[in-house]
Amino acid sequence: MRAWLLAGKDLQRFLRDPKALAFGLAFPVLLIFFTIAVQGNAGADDPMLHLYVATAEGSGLSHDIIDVLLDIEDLSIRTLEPAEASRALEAGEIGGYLLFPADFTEAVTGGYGTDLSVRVGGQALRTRYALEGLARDIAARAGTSRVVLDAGLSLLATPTAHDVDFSRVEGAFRELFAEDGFGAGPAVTLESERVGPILPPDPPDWSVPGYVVMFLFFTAALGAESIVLERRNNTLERLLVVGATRADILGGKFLGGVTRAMVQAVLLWTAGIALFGMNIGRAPAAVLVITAVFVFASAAFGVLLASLVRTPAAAHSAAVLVSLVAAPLGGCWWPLFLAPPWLQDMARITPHAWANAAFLRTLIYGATLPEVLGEVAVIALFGIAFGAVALLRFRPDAE
Amino acid sequence: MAFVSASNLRKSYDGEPAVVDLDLDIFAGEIFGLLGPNGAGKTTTIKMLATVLAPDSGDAEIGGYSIVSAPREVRRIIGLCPQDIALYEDMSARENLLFFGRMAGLNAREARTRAVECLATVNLDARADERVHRFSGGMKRRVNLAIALVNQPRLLFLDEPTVGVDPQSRARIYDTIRALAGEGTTVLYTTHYIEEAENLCNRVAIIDGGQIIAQDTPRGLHTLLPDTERPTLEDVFLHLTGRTLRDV
Repeated sequence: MRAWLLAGKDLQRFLRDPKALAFGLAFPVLLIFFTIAVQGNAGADDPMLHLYVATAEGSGLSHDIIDVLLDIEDLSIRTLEPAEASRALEAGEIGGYLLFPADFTEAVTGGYGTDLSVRVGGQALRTRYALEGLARDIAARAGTSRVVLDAGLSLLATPTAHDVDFSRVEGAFRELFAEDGFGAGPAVTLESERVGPILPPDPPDWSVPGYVVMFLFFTAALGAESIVLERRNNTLERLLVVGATRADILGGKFLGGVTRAMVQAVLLWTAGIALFGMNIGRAPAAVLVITAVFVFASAAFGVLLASLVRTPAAAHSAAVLVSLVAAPLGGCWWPLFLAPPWLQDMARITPHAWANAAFLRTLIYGATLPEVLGEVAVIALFGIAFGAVALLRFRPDAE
Repeated sequence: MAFVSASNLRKSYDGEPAVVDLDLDIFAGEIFGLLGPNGAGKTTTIKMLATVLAPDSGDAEIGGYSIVSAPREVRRIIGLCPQDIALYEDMSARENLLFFGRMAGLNAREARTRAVECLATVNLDARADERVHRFSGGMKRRVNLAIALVNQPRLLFLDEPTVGVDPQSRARIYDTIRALAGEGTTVLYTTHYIEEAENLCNRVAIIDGGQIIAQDTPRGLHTLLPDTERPTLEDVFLHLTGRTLRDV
């Protein structure tokens, strides 16, 4: 009962403190708004990639191949003279180009090797992948054609080949190098079809959970400062004299942190859904449970911090430091799967990482509550560990 | 029979003795002054008697309850007005009293009634709903005192309650204390103002080095300086504790 009285008093003070409200409620909403505005429609565009091709041959097979490529509807092939292509690449006007060597036809038909060159600028990753794919395809088809040609020539040179229908062999060779089909077509072709518009990842779905996690923890951690301040002002000591026990005070401070954070969570989720159109996923109950358990762990951390430091300034500094390190490390600012594996492993030391993983699975991938119970259990363990240390260390008096 | 009876109370901080084998008897309805220089052990004594600090050894009985074995019972019958102003300054005077009243175990109605009575006692009923941070130092001291009264304590600890207070507020605090004692409340009062102790207290103990070195009525303490013509309590105090500065 006393713990609830204490929690109610703390909530009342929080709700009438303009600075606390600005930092805990208004600032996160503004930050989410700006993040979403900056992300905008990123990822929705699907530009056609222009591939530049040049050949050092005056005539020959490379020209035939380029003609075929120019006729393909889904490819945007542009031809350049080798010198012009090189200059444009150096000048940064194009991302890269594919160069046929001067001996390409001779090498392919003569059976000795040559090199197709892919020249790209350092930043043009998509151009590089596309040109390399194109070069591999040309090399593979040229190789296949060479095998067929060798087989035909061997057959013609065989003494027992008197019963060969030479007219069919000739037809096959003509077809092999026909202008409308470079070499023999592959047995399997890939075809891509665009069905509807390409939708961008919805920025609120990615941003809101991270910021909710960050600010719930941040506000709870900063709560340590007010606890230490109360110890300094002797109000906690005064509570002891009027009959509150150490457990009452510890419990009251913890519950105060929980109620504050729950108010904050409700407001941030509501803003996420109502203002930013965030999708709450298939399992709102799971979101609620993950939030509640994370609030529990964060409030326990606030009390733990208050039990470890002596001055309000130290509590403030520690809260800011831990929160600002744990937020990016735990995936509040970007999805953890974008981070290198070693960083993903390190992130597991923060409750943030587990909460973000649970929210990601629930809100983006449609997981239900039973499917995220593992993450929820780990977050709860963080809370229990924080609470246990706080229980051992917490002193209401300033001795 | 004494309402407060302490025997052999001892407390050290990091091996440094703060209170050494302190014996003390205070009678019901008495205003008992505890005088001493800085670091003499006054606040530590009050904190032990108020069950905020556990003594290293010794015990005290308050209203028949041991501070060591029955601290909860002790807390029900005491009130503490700490040396520092211990209030929530972003709450109103009434809200502070309501909160501490509820924490002291009063129900909502009792707490409301007591808040009104205590604020009237310290003459702050007209400003009850103003936030405390707008109050002067003297007004905050009076709220500090009012909170100590909210649970109608039988023993009131007042740890330097008039520090930095204007004469009007100080006079009001004296009146309140005398009225409470008149109604049977026992008061343990620490102060630096010797004149204050002389005028207010029925008996005074002088503490130094964690030990009580003299204890009597103010007039009785004067007899410790038989060679001085018309000695004051300050003369006695300086005679007993010396003139060396106590910077702690």
